Amino acid sequence: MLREGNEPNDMRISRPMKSFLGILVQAGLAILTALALGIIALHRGEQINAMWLLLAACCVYFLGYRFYSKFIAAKVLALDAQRATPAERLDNGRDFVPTNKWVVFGHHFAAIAGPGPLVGPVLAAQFGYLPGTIWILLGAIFGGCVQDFLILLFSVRRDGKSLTEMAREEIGKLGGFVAYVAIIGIIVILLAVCALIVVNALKASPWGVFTIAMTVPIAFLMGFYVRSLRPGKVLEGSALGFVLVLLAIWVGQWVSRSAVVSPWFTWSAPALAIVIIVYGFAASALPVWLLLAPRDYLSTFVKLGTIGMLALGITALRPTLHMPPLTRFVDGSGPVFAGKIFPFAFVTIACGAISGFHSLISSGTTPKMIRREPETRMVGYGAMIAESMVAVMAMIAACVLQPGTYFAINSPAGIVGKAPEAAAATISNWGFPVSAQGMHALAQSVGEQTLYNRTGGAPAFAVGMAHIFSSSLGGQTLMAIWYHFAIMFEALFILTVLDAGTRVGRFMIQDALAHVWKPLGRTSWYPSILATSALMVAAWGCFLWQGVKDPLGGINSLWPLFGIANQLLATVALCVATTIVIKMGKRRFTAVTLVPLLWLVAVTFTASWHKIYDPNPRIGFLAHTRQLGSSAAPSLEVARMILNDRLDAVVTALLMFLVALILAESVLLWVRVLSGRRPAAVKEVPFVMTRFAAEEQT
Amino acid sequence: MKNEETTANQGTAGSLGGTRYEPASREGVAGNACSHAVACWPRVAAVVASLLREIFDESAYCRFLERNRISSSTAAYAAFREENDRLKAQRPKCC
Repeated sequence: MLREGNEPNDMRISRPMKSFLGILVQAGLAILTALALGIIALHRGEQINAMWLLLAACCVYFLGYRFYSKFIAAKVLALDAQRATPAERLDNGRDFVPTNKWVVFGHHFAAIAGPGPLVGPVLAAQFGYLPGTIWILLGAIFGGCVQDFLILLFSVRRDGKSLTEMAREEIGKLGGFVAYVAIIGIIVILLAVCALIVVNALKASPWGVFTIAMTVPIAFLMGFYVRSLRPGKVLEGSALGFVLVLLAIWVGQWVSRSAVVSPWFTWSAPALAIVIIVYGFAASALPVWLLLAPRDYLSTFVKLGTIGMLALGITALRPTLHMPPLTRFVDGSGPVFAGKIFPFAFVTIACGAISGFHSLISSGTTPKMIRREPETRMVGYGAMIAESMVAVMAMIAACVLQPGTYFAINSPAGIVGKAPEAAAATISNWGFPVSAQGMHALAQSVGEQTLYNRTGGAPAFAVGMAHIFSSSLGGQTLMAIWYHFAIMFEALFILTVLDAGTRVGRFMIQDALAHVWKPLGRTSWYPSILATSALMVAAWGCFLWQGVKDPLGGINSLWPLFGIANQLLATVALCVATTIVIKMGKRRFTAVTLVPLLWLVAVTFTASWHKIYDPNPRIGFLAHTRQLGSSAAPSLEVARMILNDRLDAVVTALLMFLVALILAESVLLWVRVLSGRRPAAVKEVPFVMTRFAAEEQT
Repeated sequence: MKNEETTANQGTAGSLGGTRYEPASREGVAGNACSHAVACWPRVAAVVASLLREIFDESAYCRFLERNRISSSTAAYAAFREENDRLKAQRPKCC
């Protein structure tokens, strides 16, 4: 970057000229944004190129970052470059380390980027590309980015405190308790959903199962490499692991064709569910270095590489979107999941627009690495923009498929029928032509026996991604390899969330149980490890089993439940942020957090209400219970499904009740502070001058 | 005493101004846009390398060696993992 005043004379541009050029460029960008948004919103009857989506996204993100985040940084937060951060004051070379801003940005992005922004948009594509895309863009700019940015900065000003601690200090004890319970609830539902996505992607797929099974010995090998052969050389170990995984994908092709070996790896959904439950328990109870850490490194390596490749592939191929902007399923009768655009499109997109889970990262490791306050803008707001861009790419990957193919892959057997001909006829009758022969040929080209009823979003995303990759590199001959690369990527990615999440949940349960009996809180005491691991695995395992066994439920029930839980956590985070903004005396700017908070309250409470009480059995848990009770002959299976529905209804109601409590407590506090009955004092650490500013000037 | 590997690793970080922050020097930046862009590449590469080393805990291992004034070995890495594992396993993985 050129320092002001150092430019050679011929390069110097006068200040008024610079600002005029700046205004010209920004006006041009605004016009381009309007044009791109206009084209994706108003084009009817013709297919559009995916580049319009990318262009609209880039322009919206640029304008949002350039103007809105700058406004928040200057007016609402008054970021102070002179104020020392906890990374500087508490530098201990372990968790508190002042770190280069680009490194923190990448680290934060790697932590917040999970399977949510890949799967959510694929599921929401059943409404067409328009509703999902608009919510991804606007939700991120005005909601998700704002939440991540503010929580990060507030945590930095409180020595890196967690969201729960900030909720307890700034709102009250109830706030802290609700945040704690909401976090456990969301982790349980998230893990069940993640496991179900993996089951649906791998069932009856010997190639996929073989590849994923091979990642376990590969992880052991990586562990041995970085512990014993080349201590600490994790990047080398991960690169070696990546090559071995690619080799496993290649060998998997042979496995799937072998009459002898193939049956060993051809598993039903219930069998896979049991294996995943056992795996979750083992990963939580085993020493972390043995399996968890190497898999985590391998997964991160694959994740960053694949997201980069997808971005390059879309830019190089510039594919056409075959999905219309709006489909007939905006009326709520969609086969992928039931429910109208409002509120379900907004709940389904989840992490691509706003995610409560991000507030845990923003108040976790990241604030302990920030070296100067102004960098929170780039890290908090900027990394969420990158995450939102991943969601846009997932939407493109889903919408480049022919709509008939998309619905054939994503519709459950309970809606379209089990037989290929029946499914193709049902989907064609909806106005999305697809043939049983075409689907068979597609399944053959990706090395699968069938692609029908592969719900969960992951297989549809993998087919879309394979289509983009194979069109850019390798053609149809590499389609199967790319498809299984995508499946491996998603499954590996999701299983890492599953094993790490189970372990985090185990620690949280141990912390809570320590209040009851101290030895239960000891993380190295094996009876406690086994008991709490079993408790955590049982919690998500029962939801998973329900998803696997229920032909009409599964992802249809669980994904909206996950979306609701995730956004309820975002509601808690925005309550904390709004409370702090009001206490800071910035009441004029309360709308910055209050508007997304009110929107989320409207979305999540409406969605929760529908999921519990809607008369449509495909939406409402209680209506489904009544339908099961009246139509089917009483059996153990029906009784279990009724129990599951009631459990879902209770969990949803409990989450809604807890968040209503924290909302009520927050509103009461706001009224007291605004009316002067309570002092507007925030719990920030006192100002200390940074030494970095002085060092930079010398 | 640090061994050669550790020193080399810190050298990569050092060229960036460190994964750990050090005031960046802006001297020697080329005077025109073209040579400026070319001059940026080593710095971009250093940032990417540092980013990867931070994500994959190699920087954390270097800091551990530096803090404890020991050289890299199987025993040192085992001690580092023991110290870091609980911390790492408690980090939530995002959805």
